[in-house]
Amino acid sequence: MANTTAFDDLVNTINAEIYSGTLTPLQLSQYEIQRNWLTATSGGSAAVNEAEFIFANFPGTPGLPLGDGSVGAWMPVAHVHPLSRGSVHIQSSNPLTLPQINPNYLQKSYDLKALRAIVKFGKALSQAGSFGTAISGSITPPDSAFASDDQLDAYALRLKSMGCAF
Amino acid sequence: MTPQLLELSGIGKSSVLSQLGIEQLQGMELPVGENLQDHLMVDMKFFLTNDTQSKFDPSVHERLLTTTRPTVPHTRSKYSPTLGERNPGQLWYRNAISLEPASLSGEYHRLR
Repeated sequence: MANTTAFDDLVNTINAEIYSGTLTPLQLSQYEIQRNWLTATSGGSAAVNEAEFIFANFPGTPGLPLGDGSVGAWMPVAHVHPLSRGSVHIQSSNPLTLPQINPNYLQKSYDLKALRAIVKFGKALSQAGSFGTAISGSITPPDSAFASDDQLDAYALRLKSMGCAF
Repeated sequence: MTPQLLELSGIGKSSVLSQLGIEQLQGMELPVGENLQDHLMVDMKFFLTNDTQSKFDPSVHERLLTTTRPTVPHTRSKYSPTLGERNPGQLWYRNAISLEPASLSGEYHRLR
């Protein structure tokens, strides 16, 4: 998924959470399971994917075709095992009032690091082999977001404020 | 049971219930509504080369559209296919661009 250094950083970040002593017993158990998913080798029975790359170009998907009639390619990427934990609580005693849902996206630094690695891998996919020869550039995230890790983080944090999961 | 039903019934954290005047049932101090997990998705879109676009067949998309729309209820399936004004014969969706944040919409017109 990422180069060795970035991968080691992800494992170290999970470990730091596990040994922080601030987790609930449930979180602790879940994080240990998630670390095992992450570190299991592809030959191991416990290997579980950490990311999804969904190449799904069907009509009605955003941006296909583009507003000017040209056709683009759409490949949303997802980090499927984040460490962040949010909450769902009522905000009124009135049963008809919707509850407050706070997903707490990117609460843990691990999630931003993982998302960054996944988006960079998606970009690398778009430049690889035959697929790469069909693609002339990025629409979103824009090329400028790939200039540095900081730029990519800023892009992801901006999405967070707009609610990017769907 | 949803957290909403449980909390309205007096089951959950007192910090949530007491401020709304809901009486907590005895022995029901439980972490209701906590530990929510949701995954993050980043939308990645790419420009295709002119050569690749020339192979685009609107009839395939039209067929997919008519076969997938009735069975896939989706909040974003409301696009009405129309003939593109700049590219007659090519399907496009008038609302597609409005899904994007205003700050990003300019990116669509770059590179060409």
